[in-house]
Amino acid sequence: MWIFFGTKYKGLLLYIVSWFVGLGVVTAFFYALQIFVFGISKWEYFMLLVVLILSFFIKLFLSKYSIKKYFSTLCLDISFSPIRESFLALSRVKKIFSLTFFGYILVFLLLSLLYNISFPTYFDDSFGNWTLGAINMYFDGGYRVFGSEDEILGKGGRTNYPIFVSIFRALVADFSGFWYEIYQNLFQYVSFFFTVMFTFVISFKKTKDIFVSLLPPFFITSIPLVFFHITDGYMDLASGLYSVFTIYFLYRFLSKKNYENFVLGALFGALLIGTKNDALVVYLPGIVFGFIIYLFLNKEISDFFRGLCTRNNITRLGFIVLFFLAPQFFVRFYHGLALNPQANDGFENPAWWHLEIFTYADDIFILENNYNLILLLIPLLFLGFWKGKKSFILYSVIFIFAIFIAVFLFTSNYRWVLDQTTVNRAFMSCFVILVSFFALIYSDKKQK
Amino acid sequence: MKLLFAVFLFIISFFRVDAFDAQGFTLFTIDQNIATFECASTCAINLGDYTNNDQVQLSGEVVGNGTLSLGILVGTNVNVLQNYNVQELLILDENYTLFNKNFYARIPEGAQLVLVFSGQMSSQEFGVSSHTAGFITHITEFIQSNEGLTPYSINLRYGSQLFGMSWTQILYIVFIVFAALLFLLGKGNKQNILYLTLVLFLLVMTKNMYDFGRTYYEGVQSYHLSDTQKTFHHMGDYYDFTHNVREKMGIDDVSDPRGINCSYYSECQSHWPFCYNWRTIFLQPCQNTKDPNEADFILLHKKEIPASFQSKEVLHSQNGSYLLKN
Repeated sequence: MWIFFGTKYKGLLLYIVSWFVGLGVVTAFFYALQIFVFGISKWEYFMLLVVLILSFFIKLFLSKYSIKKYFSTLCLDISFSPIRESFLALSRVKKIFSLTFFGYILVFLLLSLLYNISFPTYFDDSFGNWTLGAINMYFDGGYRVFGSEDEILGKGGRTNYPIFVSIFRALVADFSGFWYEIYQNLFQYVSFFFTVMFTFVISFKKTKDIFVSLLPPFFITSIPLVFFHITDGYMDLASGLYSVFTIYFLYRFLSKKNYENFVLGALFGALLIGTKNDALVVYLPGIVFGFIIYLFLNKEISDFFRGLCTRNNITRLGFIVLFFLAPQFFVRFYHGLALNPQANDGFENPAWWHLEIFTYADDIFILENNYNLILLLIPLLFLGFWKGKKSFILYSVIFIFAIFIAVFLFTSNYRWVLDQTTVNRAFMSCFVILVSFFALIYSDKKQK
Repeated sequence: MKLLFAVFLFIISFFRVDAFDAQGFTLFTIDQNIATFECASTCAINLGDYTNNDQVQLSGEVVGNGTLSLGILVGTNVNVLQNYNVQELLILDENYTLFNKNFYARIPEGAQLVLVFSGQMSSQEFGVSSHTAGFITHITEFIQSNEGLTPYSINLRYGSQLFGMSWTQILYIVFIVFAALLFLLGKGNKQNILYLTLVLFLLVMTKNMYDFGRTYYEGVQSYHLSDTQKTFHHMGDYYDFTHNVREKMGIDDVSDPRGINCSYYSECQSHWPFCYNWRTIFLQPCQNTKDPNEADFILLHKKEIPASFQSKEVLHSQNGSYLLKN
């Protein structure tokens, strides 16, 4: 973060973002490294650390800042006074709600942590898609990019899935010296914990209202399916969490036209692709469409490109593409890895669209308790926007929803609606993204 | 409409169904829900329409050997809800409610609830009744219903029910009614509607916390038991059988099993999760094959050895499950 963004981000936000960015840098480094050198272990990690530290000192030497200024960004500087003042200013009803939300969130986080550390991976998909690959990389000491397709992960791992999370797990196993699934599975919990904290921080920063700021973390934790997806090893929730960060920093860029935020948003977009194939097909396109539509409607497209085309921005974006994206696309192209092979497996119905998926809508959204009463929030969020208020966040969410529906409607993935093996968790991520920004959307609407 | 139906069910819940259709028995008499029967191989009792009878009570002693299965007849297939193994003597005192088994997607209306006996069994006083559960039972079962323990907890497909209706569906109806009232009485004040929304969310979340806590507790209780006692996700002796099978197949013989090359053919009492988890997790790297002639081993989970496999060597047998050498 210091190398690319200097002292721009500080305090709690820096720590939270650093978890995701650091994890992404390490795993992308190992991914790219395997193209040239075989090896995933703590020694390569320390080598990377040395390179990063050297790079930072080179930047320090060339910049005007002293190291103290960088270290000052590490101060947490958590002041409870604004929170306390906001709480005391609430009505009695809102105070009761706020305390209740806080209590529920804490209990949820504790319960999900206990669940996470008590059981190993159970579901076959999470084992086959992400855990088995990590086991193979740990025992082999790396993965072979060149060779047969089976050798990418070898012996059962599903090669067409992104392996960044698997690389992280293999590395954790290497550091601990043994394979212990519970350590490896903590990735999801830690990411979720930081995201919940993040939604509160960004909401309070914007609204200065503790009641409104607690709503996003409360709504996220109130979605029943989320509890199981923190613990079951699937990457749908992780895709949703990375999307939250991508959308937020692009939203911040659109509010303040600060290109550091745009670059960080782009970085999270690149990391998002490393979580699950859906990111490349659904989440990222949805966010990009939302971004373009917002610029178009605000007539800011030319200003955007004018500001983007500076040496600093182009360098950073170029690095993101070369370091995070190029190796992935190279390996995919080299081995002809499909994005969605399971959907075509045994596909027999050639109809070009499948309207029958809509007959399951009441099951998925109302009868089953996947999402709590989430549909009640949608009018609250969209009310007032029909008059033309523009919201990048809502555009992105709408496009993500729309792309998911299109994928289920027009491709053989419709089968996963009929047997409800994918559709429920796909929309869970969409709802997590939507409610994460509840406070921001609500306050934007009020400021109209 | 469904609410009216629920009220109707509540009223008739005081009445019980007495007589049942029985097939395949060499002897079957029933009087005031107490049956005397003898079954030589496969027999069945029709307990009535599944949607009207959401509570089944079974009691008494069954002697013999075989399996007693409670299920729902859909076409010519029985969707098994509960199995009871009879080994010489089985003493039953079961009060089985069907609330959690309403898989919304697809059991057709009018499907029949059946009790199937597979094996040679008899009983002098076998209590069997099916009826609509009472009001209090509905409430207590709703509170105790725990969708988190279903095998499908990656997608919560069962859903807690109250009087046969999805409880989230009931809350949506409650919201519409009360939101309309608040809007009219509050002259368009939307803040009260927000509070109502939050209260309903909190209600669902309270039930969820209870469910999650129970899921965690029961999971820990069963997961850390010995393999023979494990019932995590209600797998019965599946883990213990799988553990023994892995030893016999040689999967556990080496420290890194990825060099093993073997194949197996499997049949299970239900594909999910038993055969499915064998294929995807527990018997890897052995490969599953659909052709029994090509397989090195044949696995049968809670299935009798068919005639075509009778000549094969039994490497391991356990409570009606078998591992055969091809």
